[in-house]
Order: sequence, then structure tokens, then C-alpha cells
Amino acid sequence: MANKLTTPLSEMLGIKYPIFLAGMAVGGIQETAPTPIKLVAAVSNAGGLGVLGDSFSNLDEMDRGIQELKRLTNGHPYGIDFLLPAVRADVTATSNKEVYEQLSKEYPAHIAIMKEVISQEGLEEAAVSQSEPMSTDLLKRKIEIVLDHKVPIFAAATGEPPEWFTKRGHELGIKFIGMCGAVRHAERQVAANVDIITAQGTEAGGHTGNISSFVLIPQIVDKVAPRPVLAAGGIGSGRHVAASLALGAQGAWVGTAFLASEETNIPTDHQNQILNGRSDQFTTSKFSSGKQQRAFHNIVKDAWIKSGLTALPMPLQGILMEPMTNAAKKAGRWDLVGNPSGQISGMLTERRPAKDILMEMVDEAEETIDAMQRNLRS
Amino acid sequence: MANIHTSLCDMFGIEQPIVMAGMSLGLDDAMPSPPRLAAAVTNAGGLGVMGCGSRKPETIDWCIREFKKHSSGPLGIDLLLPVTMGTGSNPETKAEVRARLEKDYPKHVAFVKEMVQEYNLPEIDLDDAEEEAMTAELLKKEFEVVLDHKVPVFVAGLGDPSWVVPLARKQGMKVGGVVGAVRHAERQKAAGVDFIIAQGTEGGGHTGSIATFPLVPQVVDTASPIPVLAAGGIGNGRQIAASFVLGAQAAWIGSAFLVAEENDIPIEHQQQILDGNSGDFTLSKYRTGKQSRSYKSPVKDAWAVSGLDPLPMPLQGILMEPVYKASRSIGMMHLDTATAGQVAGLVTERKPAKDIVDRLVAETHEALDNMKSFMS
Repeated sequence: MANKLTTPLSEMLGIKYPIFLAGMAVGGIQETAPTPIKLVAAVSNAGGLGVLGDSFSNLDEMDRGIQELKRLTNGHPYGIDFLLPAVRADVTATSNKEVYEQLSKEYPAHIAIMKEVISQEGLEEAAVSQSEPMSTDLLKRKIEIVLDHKVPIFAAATGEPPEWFTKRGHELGIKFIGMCGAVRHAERQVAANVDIITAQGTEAGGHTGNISSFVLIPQIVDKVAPRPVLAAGGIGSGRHVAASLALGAQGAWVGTAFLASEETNIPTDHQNQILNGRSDQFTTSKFSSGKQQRAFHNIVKDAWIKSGLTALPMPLQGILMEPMTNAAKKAGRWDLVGNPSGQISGMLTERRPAKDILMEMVDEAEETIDAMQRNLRS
Repeated sequence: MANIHTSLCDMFGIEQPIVMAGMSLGLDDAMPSPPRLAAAVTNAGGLGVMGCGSRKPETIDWCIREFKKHSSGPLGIDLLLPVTMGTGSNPETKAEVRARLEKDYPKHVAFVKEMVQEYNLPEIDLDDAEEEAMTAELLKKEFEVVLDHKVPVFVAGLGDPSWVVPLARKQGMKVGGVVGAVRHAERQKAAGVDFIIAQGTEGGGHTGSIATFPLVPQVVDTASPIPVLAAGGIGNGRQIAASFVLGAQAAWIGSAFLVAEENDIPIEHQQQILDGNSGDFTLSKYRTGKQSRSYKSPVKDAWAVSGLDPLPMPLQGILMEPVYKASRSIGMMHLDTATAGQVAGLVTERKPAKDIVDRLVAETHEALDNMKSFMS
């Protein structure tokens, strides 16, 4: 049977199926990236839309990465996603190391919690990286690269794109996706003139709000109409894709389900947490980035909860944690490193090629929609 | 047009797959699922379930008789059957429990006194010193009433209904329980329940931490062939259609019926539901000892900062009575707020229950019909 699942949104973007790979990133490393170039290309080439979570450690790498992605996707649309957080600390230092040195003077209690984990776990404290911290200027230069390459889709995982970006982007034919976790964010995204709105429920992995997909999606759909909405958070099967359409969305933004793919680069230990974990083991906290994030529960999270301390704003909290995170990575202690994934993990049990994951979703969504048109009495 | 009459409708003897959740938090004169409302839902083709958790056996008896005055259709009763409780097997009066709290939990009692002072609450006469606190014995007595009346549908709003299954079956009743995680569904399936309600964290009142989207299909797969009702975050037909798509056979709907004209909750609570945003309905254990979702309140905030651990049921509820009963007595409903779910963010109209049921049914058909257009 030929597949036929389409929506006005998939037609507008020229993709076969309205299923998007969520751009996911945890720090600038392609080698351990959740959405490396090969996964993005696999999803786009299979008829979905692959979105790359910015995992480049510098601007040159980003430039080369996009060229490579263009080559591999061979004319199929793809996207790139990075954070444009509305609330963040104003950083003037030129390296994470420099920021860390300031933090150790200003936030001794925070540093102490982090160091306690190091000694308790018998880790050897690691150095803080020399990479350039997130700043308005750095974001500007990244945006220029997106514009230079006329990347077909740009998604901001948090915050909204500045006006000059959407204006110049639209002139080049770039489509913008904005992320919302509450109705008031949708108003901001509409004001920023994005083309597509993602409504992401609290059950999602990574940065996420408190309102669930079931409740959030129809409210956002009504708020931003006629703009199309992508459903996100808790989508791991074709039933979820079909349910998203029932709620009024025109497509699904799928993250965690693709972390069970063969093409992702996340550490095997993290993939096993997703394949073996229960939904309630994926909990929210602000300790790893400064913004609320859902990730596999671990003892580092417990230490923060016990401390009662408030997390620092982005990007400070992440930099503050570096000596511990880098040490854990070096020692292969992935259980101490944040694994941002969603509650849907409880349903995922098999590692498969991305194409198979996508096609099973499409097939199941179609079967479910068909079944809904018949008698529901079993 | 899709036919939305499911096998579960046949089991309950109803036309429409819409079940009003049995909600119990609230005083006897301000019930969230009173008999008149439950009867209206049943008369409109759905199933009205009355939440009778922590009510006296004679009140439960009254509820059932009162329902029957308004409807000859099926009804359900929902009781709370917590697995662990802070009371022993012997009867204990509320006065005895309060004395025990003073002695064993001085910090908790101090918190309550602090709140009473902070908000200038009157010291009210609780007038229930001789009243029996919830114990395993009292739960049995509550359930006896339900058995005697052969109430067609019984629901355990929380906890483990295993012990009631054989008793209820003898009376020809159908039994189910609310679950918030797959392992709870496994336990209930093993106990032989007739149906399972999978409630996502977005639900109002006692609720778990897993959202409806990830939870429902997992429970459907685990429970199969036992039918599942979806719960948590259902207030319009699109959400009912999505529940069917996820494999549920009916929707368990609470918050949307809290604004029904037949409801008896305080008008201020209805206003919180009508005006509030989804984000205003937050989780806490401060009110009953178990995680529950309700409208924001400064008492809830103070509890969160206090760092105190919640006491087991029914101790936490008895502990907090001087705060919430006193706030109600002087109409300070921003302290004792509405128990409701995140879907309150899209509930904006006060209507008769029949209109709510009719709207939900029409919207469900529309949503299912709309899905056809995605298969070109």
C-alpha cells in the first residue's frame, strides 16, 4: 500500500510525511550528538524532515557541517535548530573557563555541591573548556551562517528569532519554526512572525514547560490559527501522530523516539536508559542548563534537590557544572551526565534504523486514522 | 459519520463514551460531583460517577438515594482506597488524630498555626471531635453501602481495588481503578478489574507524574483486553477523539464538569477554573498527603518552601483542616483553591451538564471526521 499521510503543512514544505526530527543538542560535540548529520539526512531522505540540533563546537565546523548536510540530503528539505533564550545572563568573558573563574568567586555554595559529587563519586576534576560562551554576538554570527546557506528551515528551541533574522530569512525563502510551552509564548512567536509553531508538552525531553501536550496543543492551535502547529512532547508511535492530528496539529515534532535510532551518536549507556527506563524515571530539573529540562533521573539531580539552591541562568549553570560533567565524560560515567529525553522513553524498547522508525509511525498513523472512520466497537 | 459507541459503553449500559469523573475533595455541602449533576450526565447519555472518598457511610447512602430520585439510569461511585495509611486498624476519632499530630509532628502543627496567623484566619470550631477518621475499617463500611445498593459501577479513585473485586462481582457490579503508571495497571489487571482508567499528570485532584500522551497507549497495551478510559486533560471533543486514537474506549472527564450549572463547588472555585490558565493548576501534596493538582495558592507555596514532608493519608488532610475550613468560612477562596486539572485553561463557559455532554459528542464526531482529510 502506498503511503498517503499528508497535511497542508507537509505539502507547503514539500515533504512526504508531516513528521519532523526534533533538533536536539547537548553541548558542541558531533561525536556524541543526539542528532548528528547522518541522522538528520536519514530522516529527510526517508520523507520526513530532519532538523539538526546545533552541535558544532565552532563556527567553521558549523559551516562545514551544513555543507555536508546539503550534500547528503540531496535536495530534500532539512532544518537547523539552536537556542535563542530570551532570559540569559549577559556574558562578556571570552571563554567558558573565564566565566567559571568568576562563578567560583560569586557562587561558592553552588560550586561546593558540584565538587561534592566529584569527590563522592571518586572522579578526577576536569578542566573547563576554552570554548566561547553563548552571547548575543556569537548568536548573530551563527545566524549569518544560516542565512548564507539558505538553510530551508530554522527552528529556535527556546526563545524567538529577532525581527531582522526573520525578515532577511523570509526574503531568502527560509521557513521559521518557533517553540511554545504555554499559550503566552505563542503570542510572542506570532509577533516574531514565525511560520510554524511547535506546541511542546511537559512530557518532552530536554528544555520543556509544565503544561502537557494533551492540554497545550488544542489551545495553541486555536490561538495561532491559521498558522500550522506541530505537536511535540510524548510522541513515540503512529497512534501519537494520529492523535496529534485529532488535536488539531498538522505534524509531529519527534525527539526521543529517534534517540532509539541506529544513527544517533548519544552514548550507548544513554540509549539503554531510554530503551529500558520507565516513563516516570525521566524527571525535570534546572540543574544542568539553568532552564527546566527533562532527563533521566540521576544522583546529581538528587544532590541539587537536596541543596535547595536555585539554578543560575543560562549559560552560567551549564558552565558551573563543567568540571563534574567533563570529568564524568572522561571516566565514561554517563550515569552522571544528563541524558535529556522524554517520558515516551517508557514505550521505546528497540534500537532501529531511523527510516524504520519513521515508516512505522506513518503506517500506524494511517491504520489508526482508517480505523477511526469505522465502528469503534471492538 | 464514525460510530463512537464502544464496547465499554455496552458494559456500562450507556449511549455515549463520556464518563464524569467521581471527584470528592470538598465539604458535604459543596460536592464537586453531587447526585443532581451525576444524574444529569447519565440522563444525557453518559455515566455520572459520584466521588464519595472520605465521606461518611450515611452520606454515601444519601448520595445514591438522591441520584435515583433524578435518574433511573446507571450510576457510579468512586472511593479512595489508599494502600498505606497513617491510621491503624482500630477506629480513631479526629480528636485523637489531632492529639497525635500535636505530639508526633510539632513542626507540621507549627506550620498550620503560622498560616492561620499569617492570613488572620479565625479559629473555627471544627465540631467533629467525635467523628471517625479514615481507617481501613471505615473504608470497608463505606464500601458496604455501595455493595448494598448494587451500584452498577465502582471506581477506586486511588489505591488498590483488589480486595473489592470479588465482593463487587458477586453483586453484579463492574469495578475499575484509576492508574497513573504502567505498574499500577499491571496490579489491577492481576486483581481482575473490569476496566482501567489511565490518568495523566495534567488531571485535577490526585494524580501521578506521567502525562496522558505517553501514559494512555502504554496502559492500553498493558491492560489489553481490558478496556481503558483516558483521563487527564480532556475538556473538548478533539481530546476525546485523540483518546480514541490512543486506544482508549471512553473519556473520564472531571474539570469540564466542575463548571456545570448543577455543580455545588463554591462559585469562586468555578471562577478560578473559568478564568485560570493551564499553568495556574499545579501539583502539591500539601492538601491530602498525596500528589494532587489544584489552582495556585500562597499556602501551597509556603508548604513548598517549608521543606516539610507530607504526612500519610488521612493525617495531612486533618492537619490542614484549620487552614482550609477557616478560609472557606470567611470566603478567602484564594487560600483554599479549586481542585482541577490543566484543561481548565480551555474551559471558559458555565453550562448545564446536558449541554456539556452534547457539545463533547458533537465535537468528537467533528474531530474524527476532520482526520479523513489527512489521508489524501
